[in-house]
Amino acid sequence: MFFKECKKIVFSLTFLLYIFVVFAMYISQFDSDTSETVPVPSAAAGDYGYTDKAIPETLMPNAVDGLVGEYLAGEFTTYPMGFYKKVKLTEKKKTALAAVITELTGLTAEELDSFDDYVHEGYSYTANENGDIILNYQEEVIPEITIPENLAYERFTELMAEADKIIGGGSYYSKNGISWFYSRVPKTYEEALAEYNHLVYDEKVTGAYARLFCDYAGIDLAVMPVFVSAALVSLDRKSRMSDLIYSRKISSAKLVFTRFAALVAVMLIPVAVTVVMANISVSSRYPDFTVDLLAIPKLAAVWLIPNVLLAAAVGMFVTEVSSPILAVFVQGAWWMASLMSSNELTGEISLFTLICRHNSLYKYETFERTLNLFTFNRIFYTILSLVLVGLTAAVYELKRRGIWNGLFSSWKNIFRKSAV
Amino acid sequence: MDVIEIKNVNKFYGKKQALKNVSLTINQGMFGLLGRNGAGKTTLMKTLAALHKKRDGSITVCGIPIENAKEIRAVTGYLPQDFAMYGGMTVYEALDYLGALSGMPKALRKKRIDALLKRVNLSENKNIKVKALSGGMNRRMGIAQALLHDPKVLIVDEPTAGLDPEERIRFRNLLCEVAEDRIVILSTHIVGDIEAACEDIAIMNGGEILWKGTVSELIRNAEGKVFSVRVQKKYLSQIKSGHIVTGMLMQGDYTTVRMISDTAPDIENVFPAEPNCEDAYIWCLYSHGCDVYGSEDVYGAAGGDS
Ligand SMILES: Nc1ncnc2c1ncn2[C@@H]1O[C@H](COP(=O)(O)OP(=O)(O)OP(=O)(O)O)[C@@H](O)[C@H]1O
Ligand SMILES: [Mg+2]
Repeated sequence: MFFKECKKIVFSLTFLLYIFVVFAMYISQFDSDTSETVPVPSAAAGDYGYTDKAIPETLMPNAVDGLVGEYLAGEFTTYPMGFYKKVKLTEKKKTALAAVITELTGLTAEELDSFDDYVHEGYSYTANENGDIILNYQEEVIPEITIPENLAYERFTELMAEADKIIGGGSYYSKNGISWFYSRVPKTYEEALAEYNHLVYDEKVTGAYARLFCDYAGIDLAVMPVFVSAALVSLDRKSRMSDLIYSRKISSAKLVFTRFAALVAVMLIPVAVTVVMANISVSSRYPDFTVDLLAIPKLAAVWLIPNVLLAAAVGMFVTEVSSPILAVFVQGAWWMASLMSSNELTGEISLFTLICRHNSLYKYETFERTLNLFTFNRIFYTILSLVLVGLTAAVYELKRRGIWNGLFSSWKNIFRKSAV
Repeated sequence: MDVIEIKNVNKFYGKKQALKNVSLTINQGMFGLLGRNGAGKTTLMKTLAALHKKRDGSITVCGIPIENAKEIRAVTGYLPQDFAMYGGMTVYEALDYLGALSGMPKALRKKRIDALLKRVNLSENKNIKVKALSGGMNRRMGIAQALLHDPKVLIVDEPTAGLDPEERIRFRNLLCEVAEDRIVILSTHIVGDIEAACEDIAIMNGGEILWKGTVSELIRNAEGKVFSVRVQKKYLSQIKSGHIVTGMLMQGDYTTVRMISDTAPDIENVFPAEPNCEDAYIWCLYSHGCDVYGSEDVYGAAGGDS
């Protein structure tokens, strides 16, 4: 039974598409990202890139400057779900925000509103007497800001979160926004070296590459399985074979779970192949180090299997309840939303993000910090998938006995009747 | 005890009543379900195969209540009216798949499939793709799949539709053989099938069982109601508009017309004829007040004649 289902899947067109995307993603993203080995930092270079570090002394004034500037400009840049959006505040919200700024800066609302000298940052062109066009850069002019001595960093974070809430979320003052826009500081040589050593010794190279690998693979594996599973489930109806199968002895639960198991098993094969490829390519690039060949497979199992499970389960469930097209649509929407909401690509994995991101070889600390969340998240999706498959079996049994015909099935009858 | 008991079964599609107070007892052997399009044959058969839910009434199949779907599925073989199989599989693979769904072990599947393919004359086609089968071959494969797990009850919905006469006879014979040791329920609107193969029959119309009994009883009922007349062609349309014509035989300028009527029609040279199964079926519909040939006038005109 299991192998018969596997065979059906292996020879399906959607599976071919699935394989193609899995390998295309691997080659275009992971493989190209790792085509160069991470260089050993040299003391002479002087430039070691940036790192996100919450240093209150620099972070706080910068963020407050930004907030006051946007407040005076009357417009806020936000990225809700990852999409760019300008926000203007109502009077009521403006008052609320002014109160937050007052606590941050000591400036009262009146002082803020009476600041008439505000000038927007920007470029302008003027022509000199020779007719040459000259580009002028205008720095933003905002009031002199002093942050009260007694403002603790914790209180600052709370106030920023409140400001973000007033603006409507996704602003520069959200948790992600602050770490993204106001926490960038240049790495020192020592930091860069420590990071490098952590990568090659503590993580045995592959430990870090495993996260990058899973980061990329998790994206396509959160959506591609839906095509394969929706196709498998709808094949019965498409082949006009449902009644033949319905009238067989096998229990609905056994049939549905066997199909699910077959789907997952078959779809993990190409993933396993890319895991082996990743191991080979990474270890061949670091011939001088002992690499841990189990790091990528282990992390991939925990990180990626839940994605495959969920997308396959949604595919089965929605197809059984309604139609394969709706299944692809539902999972596609979920995928999009998840992808867009993780606008920070490293760490901070939240409880319910479907697509966990960690687009970096470094930042082990962020990953470690959210490891519990990550574990919970993965277990949650595994259980959710199994619940969905269980529901699929229940729906299958209802349809099989003619008790329920599925959602929107009457629509199809309408179309059929009007077509006759 | 191999018997199907159906008692006062009602079934609705939304508001539309598809089965009206259906009661039947079906014994071992071949049972024919006759009725025009939309009579409710498929609905009744699907209900018996536990694929449809009835609203009320009771059904037991070999002592198993129909609600016990799992056991019903184990003893029932079903050939749907409109069916197909995965086109990409070979005949053998498709049957093997369905056998596995019936929980048959591999060795048994192989044995049964080979034997059945031989029986339905498809041994040579066992390795061709399902989608390459002709309509007749497809039907034969359908019967093979329904018999695969050796069910006590075989339900076949219009299996002979679309078969050539030779194939149809073969198919009927096969079903008769199969019916020797199990219940076979066959639906059709081809009266010839019923006549040749079935002992007990039921005639359905509008979701009701119009009549049930044996084929010979059905024919006996129509005795004295069938008439034949030889007329010139030009009178043909006149006769057709006033009577229920069940057969015509053209012979040069003349045509022999068979018709059914309660009493002898008022036409010259008309003489009574022996009813055949087809006459009897039409008579049965007509005498139960169905508008045969879709015309109320016919009934009125015939009544006027008597
Ligand atoms: N799924 C359905 N939803 C609504 N009405 C249905 C459905 N299936 C059948 N019907 C209606 O129920 C009635 C009985 O249909 P059924 O298919 O049982 O007839 P049948 O005797 O098998 O006809 P045929 O000889 O054409 O196969 C018909 O009037 C049909 O329109
Ligand atoms: Mg039918």
